[in-house]
Amino acid sequence: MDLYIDFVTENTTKRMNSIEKCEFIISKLKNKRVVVFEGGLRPEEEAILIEEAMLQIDHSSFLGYKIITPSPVRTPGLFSRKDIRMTVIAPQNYESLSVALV
Amino acid sequence: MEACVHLGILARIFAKSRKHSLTIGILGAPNAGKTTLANRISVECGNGKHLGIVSPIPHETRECFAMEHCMITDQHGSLDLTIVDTPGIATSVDYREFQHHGLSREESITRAKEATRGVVKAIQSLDRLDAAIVVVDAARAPFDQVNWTVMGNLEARNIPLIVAANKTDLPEADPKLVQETFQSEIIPISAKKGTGMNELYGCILAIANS
Repeated sequence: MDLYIDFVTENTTKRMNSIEKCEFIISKLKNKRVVVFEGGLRPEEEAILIEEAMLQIDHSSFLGYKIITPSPVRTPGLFSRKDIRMTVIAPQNYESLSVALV
Repeated sequence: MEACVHLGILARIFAKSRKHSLTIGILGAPNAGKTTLANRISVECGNGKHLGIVSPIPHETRECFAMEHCMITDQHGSLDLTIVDTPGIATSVDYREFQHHGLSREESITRAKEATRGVVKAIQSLDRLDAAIVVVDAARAPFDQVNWTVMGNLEARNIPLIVAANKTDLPEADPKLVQETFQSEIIPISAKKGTGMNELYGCILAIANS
């Protein structure tokens, strides 16, 4: 299976509400995209994403997703240092999410 | 254990203001041992009957089941507990997994459809709880991210929670790793064998006192 990864910046999602964000992610997953999401999701958004995914699982092409949030990465710099949080979300059909992280 | 000592002190301090009843949800990933724990509490503190069926097949519990009037008692009195056993929370439901357990394709898809509805019910149950026990399978690292999702949602709703590191009867269980992973006090238990239950009841009483 070919692997496609979409990097989604916070700038892209900052005007989206939680539902829109989750629908955006699910549409990507349904198109067999792995989504690397800058800023991650809040726990409440993760719960909404689970609910939305469960409602949209069709038991053929979309079976849900795998999600991993690695520890935040700290950017270098004295005054501009900040923690960058990323969440990686992949369609369940990928046999191993670690493949997406390589 | 340390958590329980602290909570036990709190229990004594706040015993006079104890809540008399509490609805506590049992939450976590599929096959973490939620129903085994619910059955254990029901047998030890409730009507003695099992609340649900335990199975090695994931998503055996696909509805929320409640058991009222489980009584936990200490020297300060009794707590009337309603325990809510919830379906396992997952980010995916793959019907092929059920086929590996011997179910036909049709049976697997039917079970998968019920499982997806069960996950939604488990998420929605969060709004009806006074407290929660998050059951983590201590023998299955790396631990599922849904545990963080559940804990984060409970914290966002100000619902007190207990992390129970279950299956400590298995040789591969590593409760310390659970503690390190979740950066939280945990109660090591074996719902199957009944170990750690007194500590768990102590923590529930401490929540009722807070």
